[in-house]
Amino acid sequence: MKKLYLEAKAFFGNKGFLLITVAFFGIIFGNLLKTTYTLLQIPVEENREAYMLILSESQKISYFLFIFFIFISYELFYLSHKSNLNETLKTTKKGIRNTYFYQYLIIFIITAIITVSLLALNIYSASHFKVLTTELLVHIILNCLLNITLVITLASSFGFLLSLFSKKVFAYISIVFIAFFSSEIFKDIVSTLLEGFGLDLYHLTDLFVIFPPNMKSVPIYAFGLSVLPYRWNAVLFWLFLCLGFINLKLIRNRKKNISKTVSTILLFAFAVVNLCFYYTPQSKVIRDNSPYQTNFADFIYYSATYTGDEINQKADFNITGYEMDLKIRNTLSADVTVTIDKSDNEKYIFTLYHGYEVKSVTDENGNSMAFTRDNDVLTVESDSHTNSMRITYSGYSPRYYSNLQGICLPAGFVFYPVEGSVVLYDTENQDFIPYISENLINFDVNIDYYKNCFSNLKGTDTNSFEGKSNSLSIVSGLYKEMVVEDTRFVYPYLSGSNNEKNFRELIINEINQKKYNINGKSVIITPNLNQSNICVFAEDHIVAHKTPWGLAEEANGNAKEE
Amino acid sequence: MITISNLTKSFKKTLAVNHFSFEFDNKIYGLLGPNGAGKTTLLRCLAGLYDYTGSIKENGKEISALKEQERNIGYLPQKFGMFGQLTVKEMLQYFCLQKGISVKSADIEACIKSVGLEDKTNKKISTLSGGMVRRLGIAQALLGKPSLIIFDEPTAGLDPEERIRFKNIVKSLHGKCTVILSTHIVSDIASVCDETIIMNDGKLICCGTSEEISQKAKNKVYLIPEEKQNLIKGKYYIIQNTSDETGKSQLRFVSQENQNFDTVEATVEDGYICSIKNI
Amino acid sequence: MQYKKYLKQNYFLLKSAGVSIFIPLVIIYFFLPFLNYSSYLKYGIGTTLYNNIITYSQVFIPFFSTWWSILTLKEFIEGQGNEVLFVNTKRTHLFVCINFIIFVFMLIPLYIVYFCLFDNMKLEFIKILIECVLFNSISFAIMSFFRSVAISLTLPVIYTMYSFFRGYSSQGIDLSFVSLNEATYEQLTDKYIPILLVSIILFEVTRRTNSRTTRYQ
Repeated sequence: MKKLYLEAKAFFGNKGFLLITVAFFGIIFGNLLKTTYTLLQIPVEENREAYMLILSESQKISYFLFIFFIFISYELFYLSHKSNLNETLKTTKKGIRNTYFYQYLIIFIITAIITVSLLALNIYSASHFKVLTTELLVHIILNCLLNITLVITLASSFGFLLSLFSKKVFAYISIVFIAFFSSEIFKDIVSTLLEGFGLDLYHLTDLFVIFPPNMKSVPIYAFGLSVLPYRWNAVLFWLFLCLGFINLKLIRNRKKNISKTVSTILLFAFAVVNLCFYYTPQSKVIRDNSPYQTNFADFIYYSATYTGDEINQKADFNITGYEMDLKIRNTLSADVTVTIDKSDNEKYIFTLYHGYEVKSVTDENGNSMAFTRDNDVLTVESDSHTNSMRITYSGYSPRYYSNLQGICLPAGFVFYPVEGSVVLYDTENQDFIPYISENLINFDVNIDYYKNCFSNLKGTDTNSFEGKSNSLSIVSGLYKEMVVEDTRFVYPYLSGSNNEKNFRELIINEINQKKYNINGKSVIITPNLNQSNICVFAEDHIVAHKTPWGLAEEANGNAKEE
Repeated sequence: MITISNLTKSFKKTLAVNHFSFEFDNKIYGLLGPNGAGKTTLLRCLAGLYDYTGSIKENGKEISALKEQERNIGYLPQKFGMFGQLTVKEMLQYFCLQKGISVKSADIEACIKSVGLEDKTNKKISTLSGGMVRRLGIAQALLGKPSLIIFDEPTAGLDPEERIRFKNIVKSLHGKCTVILSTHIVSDIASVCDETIIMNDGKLICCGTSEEISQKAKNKVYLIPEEKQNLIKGKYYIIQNTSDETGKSQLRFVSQENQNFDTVEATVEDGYICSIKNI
Repeated sequence: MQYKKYLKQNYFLLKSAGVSIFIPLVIIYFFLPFLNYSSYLKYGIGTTLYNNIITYSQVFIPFFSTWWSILTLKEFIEGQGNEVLFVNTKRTHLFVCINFIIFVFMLIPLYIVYFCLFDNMKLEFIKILIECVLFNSISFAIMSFFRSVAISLTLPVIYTMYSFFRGYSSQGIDLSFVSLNEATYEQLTDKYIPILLVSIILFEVTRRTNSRTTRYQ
């Protein structure tokens, strides 16, 4: 404790650094508290969405903490060098590493205080808005751990690494460039370069932006802030890389031994492993101009592949049933058995969103069937009679996500094979064209997912559903289910207000009950993912991407004819 | 006892220490040499700061194989500083913790008193003068009764009174541990050290007591009026320009050749010059 | 004569900084034009190009306008044996002024090209100059009061990013210097003249009250 006190005093005893630190935290947290206070004044009955804004604001400071801690760590770890003490400390029994350890401990204690404070702020706010659930609590903890604790740890490792270089100018330039490269501005620059020169730096530069994505947009209430594995991989990659170089720099000046060499190699190996995981294809929820992971990706794809002459081609068979085993981790893996009403065709044409790669197609006897893929169209060659086909596929969609944090696979989106060649996208409106089957189909769906899923179908077991419908919706995440009179609502509980009894009344009154009867049906509210269609109407449910209150405003005059 | 065998240390193309061998006992050793002789490099190798080829053994054990906790040395480098925001006492407490010495058992007050900083005990180091910081550096080197103490230019910045105090401190360590003192002030070495080691170009040139070093210049040192400089024969090296009682300029020089002047008594400085210049 | 001396001294101090003195030139003459040209290729001469010009200019130009001043004053603050520099140099604020003027001259060719594309760039130039004055004053104040190069680099970067983030969030206190809207006379008088006044006052207060830049300690 004494050593810790002396180390802290040696650094923060400098009034300049103390003042800067206090002023920085004062401004950052003062701003955050002011914002939180303002949002907490909103009556809970009126609007629950304020909680998500508080969570967003509390995580936005991640970038500023990162830059500040690089600087403060650099100055802290450089202190003994600046004071001409390094040489003396290296000859003592505990050595210079002991000094570094205690300096790291100081940073760790500050980090812990910040993390705990933000956790407390978020938990209090969530309780205030009556939205605190175990799921949300875990979400808050993960956010704070990733965006605050891990990011500050990374920053202090950067600062430490820079302090080991004797040339100060190099360290200064590095701090400045890290600040620019890791900011949102850099994403805009990369977007500009892609648009003008066609220079695609996204794959390279995505790795630099380690802070919460989508901070410019309205939060996705059903999803929360992204704490997907790829974000952890990115931060851990940099952290292990940094620690590897630190280890390398520290052992260079001393007699090498096997354990130190092995530890360096291990650190670099962990970095490489995280890098590999980062680049594995997976469903992310990003809403910037990246051509790979966002809504924009679909527009780019279809602009390149569609000629403009596409028309729907009806199939000469009908699908009468689906048996689906869906496994959702970083991507969707599906094992779908389709039952068809015509067994003697030579060719069967299906449509499946191109983001899902078909692995195999087998007939009812398990024999392999040849197939080809042309964008969204799947053509299966059949040389035998079969009443059903088993299609396995996996992948993801940039817009309709299916990952470890949530699922948004709404009706209208072709995430399972449908018969015929269907035009899925409207390039003029930059949006998907909802597809709803003309017939009612039997669905039997099992979902291997660790969270509770919701569907339009009837639940038979945990994450198992069956029923008859002309479309399938699956959602999961920060959702709640509620039955009001005989209408079932599935909605993100972080949006809207606490006045849930108004749900049905609003929908009945405002969405034109004469045109669509929601008695005995489900209303599933999906996130606003830039869809242009407000509602998609299926036989047994309606999918809407606005809350009933938003719906009420939009739907007057826009309600679809049943 | 510390035994150095064939110690060699080079930095890229510069050979700083060149096959240096020596044995240190529990005595006080002075290290002399011109700038760039390799003194600091040698001391850093002894302190365990550099990798080297050759061998340095402390009580029969190679120091590079010793763990940090098995060595107990005091080290005062040439460029030395402190944390400006800590007080004198806190800084010594810091060093105690670094050296693995219990803060309570270490006699910090005695250390502070021995270097004459008792009235600055609770003052911040940033308020001390350069010389006072140096004295504090000496104090930290003495903490924990080390078996080897290395001083690199310890009296730089010290006033005459403090230099005397320092010499007394070093003399009091006689027989208790090995003390190696590197300095350019020959008189400090002459008055304090049991043995003097002279280095040049990374090599050991000679070693011995002050008398033995002085002997190297025996019958080679002359003191003549300056106007007679043109009468000097052969190669010579001017040590000093002085003046006599009347204020007349005089020249003190060493020369291998017999000169037509009377020699004067040689000092350690003369012996050092003769060793370095091969006179 | 005195100013000639400071000019020469400035030259040597910058020379000692090495290759890093070219960074602002790379930003002004390569990086920004490269970005703007990319935008021009996609959108032609229009609103989008204009917006990109003013956005990227405000990100990089104010911050890098302080680069040479920081490199110059770095030697006074952190250089080895820096006390000798203070013996004959009392007016270190002149280095800030000299470097600022040189930077403005370096900026003019870029803005001449901008003038040719958009008439309103004259007002944008004034806006960017005021932002540069603000950043130079802030850096000078930080270096004088805190005597740390790292702080004087880090805080302006944080301020720049905060100002841009501020545009994405309507919450909290607004202390940003950035305006992503087209420059108008009203904007200059309402926002930027006060910023200019604050900058000048800050510079003067630093110069007069803080003796640490005119004396060694």
